[in-house]
Amino acid sequence: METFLQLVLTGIMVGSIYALVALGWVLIYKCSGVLNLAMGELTLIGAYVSLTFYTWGLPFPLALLATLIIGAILGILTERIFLRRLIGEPVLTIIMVTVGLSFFFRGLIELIWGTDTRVFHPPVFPYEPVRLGSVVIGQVYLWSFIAALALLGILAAFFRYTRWGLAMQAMADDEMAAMSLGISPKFVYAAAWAIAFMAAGVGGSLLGNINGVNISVGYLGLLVLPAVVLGGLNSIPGAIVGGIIIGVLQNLAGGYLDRFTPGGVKEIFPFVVMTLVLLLKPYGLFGWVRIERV
Amino acid sequence: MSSPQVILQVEDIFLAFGGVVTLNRVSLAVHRGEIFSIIGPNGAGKTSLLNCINGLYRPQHGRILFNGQEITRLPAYRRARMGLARTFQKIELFKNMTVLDNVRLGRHIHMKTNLLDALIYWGRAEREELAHRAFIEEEILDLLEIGHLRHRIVGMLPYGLQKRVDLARALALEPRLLLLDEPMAGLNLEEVEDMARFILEINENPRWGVTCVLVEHDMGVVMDLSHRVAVLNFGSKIAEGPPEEIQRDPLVIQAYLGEEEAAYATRR
Repeated sequence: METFLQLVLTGIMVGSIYALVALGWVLIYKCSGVLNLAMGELTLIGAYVSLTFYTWGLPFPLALLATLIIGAILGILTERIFLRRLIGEPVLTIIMVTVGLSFFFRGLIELIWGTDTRVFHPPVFPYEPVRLGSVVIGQVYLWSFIAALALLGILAAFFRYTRWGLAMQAMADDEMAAMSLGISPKFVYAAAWAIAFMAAGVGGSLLGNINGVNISVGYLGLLVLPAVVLGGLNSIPGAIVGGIIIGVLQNLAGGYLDRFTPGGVKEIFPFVVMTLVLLLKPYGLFGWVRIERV
Repeated sequence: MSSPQVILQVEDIFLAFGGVVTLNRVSLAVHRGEIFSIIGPNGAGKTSLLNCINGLYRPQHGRILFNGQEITRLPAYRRARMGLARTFQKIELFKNMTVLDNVRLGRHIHMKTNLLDALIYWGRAEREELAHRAFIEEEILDLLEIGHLRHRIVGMLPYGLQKRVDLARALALEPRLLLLDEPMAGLNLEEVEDMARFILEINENPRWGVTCVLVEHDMGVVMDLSHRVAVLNFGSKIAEGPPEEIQRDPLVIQAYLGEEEAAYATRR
């Protein structure tokens, strides 16, 4: 029982990092209907940028703030340089461009930061774990959990209560109609990419604090896909819940099933769950059900 | 140059998709305060013309002036901000949102608050929000008689009501010129009469005073509502004038009314 609790709790905490990355994914989907396959690379960039600022001697909170600012700038630049010409093009074209972007970013990262694993030094979060009854949790995980909750609150409020949030959803729903109402697609896409970059920046910085940063962190982008699909592609709460569910399932699979196999159950398990959920609920747990009438 | 009574001037518009000429040197002038209809057989280029005026298509040749200002190269959202709104033939509502949210999006261009104001939601932001809400609730939803539906999800509403929400959203822009793309298509007789009443109201009531460009297949509606009518056939304008004249024009009868006569006589 104790092992179970420990596994679940750690799962929730790891899952909250997935949730952060999933948030960025959902945001771009919500505003443009595009699956951003470069999400892992955005996370990587976030991790490296904050690490760089940290090694320059900035305290971690400031490094994180600087990462957010750089993330916003990069998001706006990405829209300006790569995506603006694609306004009005089919969604599939834009998805393919994000594949191109992911290779481009990956190359850029290797060019700037190399391929060696780098760590935050001195460590930002004390190694001393927090005790909750009989369960122990690393402080990094606790903080990422808090960050995920905070971002969830901020973004949910943004979409529910501001006209920009509404405008972004409108753009995803029907670009032509949104434009005819005076909503600028340039603004919406720039904002979406800026926010996605920022969410990935937070996720990346926290991840970098767990195992250090190297290029393989980028694969997290794909690992998060089951979380996004599970929650429903355009639901912000869904991204958080999906991320946490995937974290927990992964941990449980690792804890209970890994010993019967040569390994790898942990990695496959989220995709198995994703497939099962899609069979039962094709729109995910919280997604919009598309209503089609002819 | 155009006289001040001309709100929309279309000059020599040419639009082709590959080798298919959709609009061939079409010119027309819409006067302030009128209901100007564009009719023609299927595929005559009516919706394409609206799309050029609205900014969704860019013609290869010709100019479009709105309030004397050239808008030919402006994107659709800039034209919307200048007071040019439209409704769609195939409904293009935000189907997963409520009626209120749909109409609210039409107010987007009139809102001035920034993110900081919105965050605090006090003073300016609150006053503005309340004023817009009152405008939407009391003027638009009441006028179009959809107030009781405000919290319903648009995609779940019957077709006729969706058409009304489309009009409500366009009206929320408080446009000077409204492009109506087949507002009656698919409506039953009662709904057609309601819609005609709404269009007359927003055109004639000085509170709105909206100039309308109407594309419509229902000849009864067109002849009853319009001040002037232009006829397109295979991308060219073949006639323009008051409804009575158009109905007598031999070219028009040959191209359009002739084959539609039976349908006109038995209009639903």
